[in-house]
Amino acid sequence: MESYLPILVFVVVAILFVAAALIAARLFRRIGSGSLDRQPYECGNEPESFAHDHQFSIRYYLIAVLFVVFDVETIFLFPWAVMFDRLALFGFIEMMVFLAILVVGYIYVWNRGALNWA
Amino acid sequence: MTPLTHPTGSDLMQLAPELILTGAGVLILLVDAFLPGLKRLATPLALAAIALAAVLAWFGVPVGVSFGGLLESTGITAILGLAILLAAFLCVLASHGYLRREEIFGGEYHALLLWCTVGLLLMTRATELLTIFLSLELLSVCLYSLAGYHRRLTVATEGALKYFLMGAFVSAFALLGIVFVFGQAGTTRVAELTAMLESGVEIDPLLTLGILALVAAFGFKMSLVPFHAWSPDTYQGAPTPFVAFLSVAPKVASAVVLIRLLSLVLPGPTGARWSALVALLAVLAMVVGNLLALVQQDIKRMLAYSGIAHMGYLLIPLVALDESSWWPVVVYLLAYTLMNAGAFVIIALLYARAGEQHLISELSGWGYRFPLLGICLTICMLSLGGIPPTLGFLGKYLVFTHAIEHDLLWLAVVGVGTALIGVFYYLRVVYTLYMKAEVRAPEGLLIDSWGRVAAVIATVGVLILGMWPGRLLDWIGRAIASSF
Repeated sequence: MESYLPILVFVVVAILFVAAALIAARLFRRIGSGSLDRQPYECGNEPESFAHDHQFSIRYYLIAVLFVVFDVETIFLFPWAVMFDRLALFGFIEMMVFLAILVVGYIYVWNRGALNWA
Repeated sequence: MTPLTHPTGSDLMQLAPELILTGAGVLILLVDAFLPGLKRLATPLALAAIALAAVLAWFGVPVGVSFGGLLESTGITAILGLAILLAAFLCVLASHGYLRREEIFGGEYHALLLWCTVGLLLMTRATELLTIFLSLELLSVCLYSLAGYHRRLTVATEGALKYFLMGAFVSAFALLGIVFVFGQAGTTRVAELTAMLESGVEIDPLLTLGILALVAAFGFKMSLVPFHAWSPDTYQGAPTPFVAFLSVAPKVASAVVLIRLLSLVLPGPTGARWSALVALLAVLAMVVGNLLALVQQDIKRMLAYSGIAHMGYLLIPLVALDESSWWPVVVYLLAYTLMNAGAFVIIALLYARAGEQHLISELSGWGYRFPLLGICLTICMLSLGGIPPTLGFLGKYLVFTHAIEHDLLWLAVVGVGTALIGVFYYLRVVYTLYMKAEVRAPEGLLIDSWGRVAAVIATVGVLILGMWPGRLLDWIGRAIASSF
């Protein structure tokens, strides 16, 4: 049973971590410091009105998802660009395959009208 | 650590079936987007791609290790790959009429199905934990979206959401398991893990915990008992022809991974405890699955619970895991693929209102109204119940004899006992088909020839292979012998 000690430690640490984070948050946060910190956080500016009062177009989410896709694409493009010389032709072909797949997705959503705002 | 190298020509040849399927999926998606008039072509395109992939998987893929040891093709993975492709083929055939009837025909369905098949094929052949996880995610994401494909139905969204939430949780489990294994062993390659464990080092509890978490993750995909709760709800909401795929193919691929994991720990010093665990899972799945299937009124839910029970039978040969276990496992998986996919294909044709209950009683008397489909459903049910001369009987026979040969008589007795419960509820469907008066007019059905062909392929397979199994058993025997 002694050899199972690490697992017990793991479980205890996992519980303590959550508890500590919650307690620390409770100890250090400022209470009732004004209305601003009850506002939903968007971009640091004061919201002009309540979010519930507006209807968001569903396209907002589609475009958000598309943004994430191309954001991630850039993450892969940067290291490739930095190491372009060493990855040579193989890296180039592999990257083009990757980009081709993404372009197909892009053409598809474009064709489906996901990018038309009106 | 073996360094990764550039893939060679033979590496790409190993991936040929997957590349074909991926390319076909992309093509179908583009046809659907640019030539909407031709979107019905998705079915023949997908069928051709699956057939081509099957030919390549059998003849074109060289046996051996590729991608620096990330993938390994053997005779066994080739056969199980064919079983997965067969399930996809039946699903596409049966989906054509269903999607038209529900007016949700779109290329996305076929594309997602093909990509899911890619994930499954990769998972059967992956011999490295992160590759396994990657293919698991690939197939899971496709399965979640397909389960909710009928998105106007609340029940479909509900089933898909339950599947997604539990599946995402389970993915975290799998990843945690991989982390523990890597932390203790310093490698994620199955071959290196095997070598390490065989060298007689003491197995650290954290390694055990890691493998346990992985077993739980793949037990979820196989819907073994403590992890089975998603399956009846998901099956009920998902498009029925897709359930023919969902209830079969992921279980085949997960069984392979489960065997890989258990082969790591079962020969070791803690092997006896792992055996006991597998036996417990098997008994739980058989008992709970069969008892709950007994009380179901809805045929899709009944088959969901019976599928759980079938995975219990499948685990029996894994309790005493050695090279001889592959034989019953492969035969059972093939039998299960044909008969369960066949049953769901026929159900998809015989019920018109997607999203509502598929009551068994609604089939009353329809054995005479639809003679062909009635016979097919009857044969599938007999096979699921394990009644000769069907392939289902052969599978059960091999499983139980394997248990008896390995001094697990008690497990065989539990298996036969619970299988008897199964016979009752399977035969109730047959009884309803032929011995009761009709209660429902056949309105809104769309029974096309694609669907009929799927039903006949599955049924003829179950019957012919069950009656003349010699050739099949030779073939499987040779494939298994060549794998070691």
